[in-house]
Amino acid sequence: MIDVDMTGSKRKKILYIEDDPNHQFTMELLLGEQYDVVAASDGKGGIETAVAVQPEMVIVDIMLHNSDIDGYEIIRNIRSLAQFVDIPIIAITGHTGEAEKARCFQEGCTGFFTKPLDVDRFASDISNFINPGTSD
Amino acid sequence: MKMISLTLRTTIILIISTTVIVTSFSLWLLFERSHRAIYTQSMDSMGEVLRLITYDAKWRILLQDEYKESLLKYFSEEIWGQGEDILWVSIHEKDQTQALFRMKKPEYRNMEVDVSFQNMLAKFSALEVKPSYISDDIDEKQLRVFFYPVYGPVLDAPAQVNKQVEGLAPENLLFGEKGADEGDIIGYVLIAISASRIVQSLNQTLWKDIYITLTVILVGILIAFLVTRFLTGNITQLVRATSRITEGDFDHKVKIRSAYKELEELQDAFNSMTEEIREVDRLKETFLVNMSHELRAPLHSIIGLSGSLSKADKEYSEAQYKKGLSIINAEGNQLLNQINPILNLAKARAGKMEVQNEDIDVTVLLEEAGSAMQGMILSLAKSITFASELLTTDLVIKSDREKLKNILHNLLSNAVKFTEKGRIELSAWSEGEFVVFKVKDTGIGIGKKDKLRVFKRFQQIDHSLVRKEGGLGIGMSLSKEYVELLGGEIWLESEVGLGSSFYFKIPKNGYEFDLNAKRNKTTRPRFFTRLSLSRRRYGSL
Repeated sequence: MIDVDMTGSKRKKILYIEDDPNHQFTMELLLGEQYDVVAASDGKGGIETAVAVQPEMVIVDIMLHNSDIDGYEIIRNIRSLAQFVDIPIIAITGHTGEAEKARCFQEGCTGFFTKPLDVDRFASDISNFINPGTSD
Repeated sequence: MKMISLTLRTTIILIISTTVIVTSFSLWLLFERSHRAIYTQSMDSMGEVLRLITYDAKWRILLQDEYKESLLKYFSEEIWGQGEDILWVSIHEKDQTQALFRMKKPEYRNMEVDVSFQNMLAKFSALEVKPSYISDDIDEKQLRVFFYPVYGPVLDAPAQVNKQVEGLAPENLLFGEKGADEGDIIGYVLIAISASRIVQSLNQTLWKDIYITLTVILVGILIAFLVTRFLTGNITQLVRATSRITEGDFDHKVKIRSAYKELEELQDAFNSMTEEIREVDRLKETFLVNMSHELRAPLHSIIGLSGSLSKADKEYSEAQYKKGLSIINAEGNQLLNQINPILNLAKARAGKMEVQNEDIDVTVLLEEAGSAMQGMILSLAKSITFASELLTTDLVIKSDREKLKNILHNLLSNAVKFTEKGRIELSAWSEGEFVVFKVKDTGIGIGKKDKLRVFKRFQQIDHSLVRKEGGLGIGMSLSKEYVELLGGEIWLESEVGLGSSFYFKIPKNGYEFDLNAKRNKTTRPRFFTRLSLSRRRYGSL
């Protein structure tokens, strides 16, 4: 796997909005080696963190148990901010329905994954989303 | 489907055809009677003629010549007055083909009477009139000749008449011998009746008969057709509705436009069945969605972590390995906790759950449940005070420890789930042959409508807490199954906003549950049937 940040000191930041700490840790292990994974556990905090951190990618869990706003709304809100119009927003959910998937894309997400993740594919897909045009 | 409606149609047609046949037969009988009535009527008029003649034959026909004329006149008037159908009347002496006396109505208008006996004799002897004589102007087919015997004078005839007869010379007798015995046939009376009117009447009634029968048959067929269409129409509607429901359209309602109570009841029963199926279907889908989510969450950690940690090209710190593995372990256990109740419920419902009878110290039982409860409250960081109390001292019972613990765990975790802050109390006491357990909370409470659903499978009340906490809606229904397996019952008292109290009581001295009875009752483990159905429809869990 190619480390796309070989030249720069600046690693790309990924914001992960997820209320389950175990899943946060899982994401840290999956992507932490290549990216800075910043976690937020609810919608409001997630959006605030996004504005503060200016991540290159946002990954949102659609089913947030403790969130004031659900994942769809988070996607919509982040996408509506000018600085995030072009960044990849990835939706992850435990639900497998086509309706959820369609709704996510409708709200403006770039990719859609279901839990549990296919570890290898997920890493390469994320890499493709975050570095469009390059391939490994 | 098709065959049923065909059979039904045939049956209805058969029933109505039978009705038509029976009606026609009854009508035929009725017409037969009316034919007879017509016939009898004409007979009656003849009878009257006969009565007149024979009466006079007995006493007065045998009168002297001077009376004959007036007698015959009287006769003719009387006879013609009896009926229009009488064409002629003749009287014959015994063994004589020649008529002694004859009256006829040649043109059906005026009578012609041979007033004189001598004239009459001469006339008819010349013609050699036979009893079956048919006048030329009468159509043979329209004539019926009736032949009546005339009997001798009765003994108790009025003395005056007998005296008259005694005094007469034999040649002055109209017919018969002087002093003939009673019962002897002394002659015959022939009455010819026009058959045309009878035939006409009979024909008319026959046609009427045919018309009415045809009408009845037509009306019967029409009714049969309408009834068949009406019934099969409604049934077709039901069949259509059934197939739509089979296809998964549970919103389809049957509307039978009928005044019939049975069909209306059928419609209501059908619609409420649909409603029930829809509810079950909805629950099943909710259950599947929930279960999918509940199972995928721990699997996500397990697969994600084990996948990352086992990568050869990646290096993780020891702390990361340890944390990762402990999460895998915890999530694995979580998965087991999710699956166990489902499998247990299925097992209990299928009647395959074994029940132990062991000595249980209720004090210890409450202590164990209490400490697990404290841990639960702590891990959820809720401000709930918990208290447990055994109201009957030194209570030792015979029951199934694991199931009892499980029921208590379900009730307590349910109480915690629906109580943000407040108080939860666990208590137990002896009550006759039973021991009663009570779990009281100060949570959100359960509304009247939800009370009925609490112990049903996959049922969860619609509340933000449920959405937040997740869960499959299995715990309460499993508790109910367990309580029943232990020979007891479970119930609840609750008020919205004030909290709920769940009670269950089980026999103190154990209970032999008849597993076979349960197994027979639920020959098909419905739970699995549903799951396998779902799997087919939804691909995978």
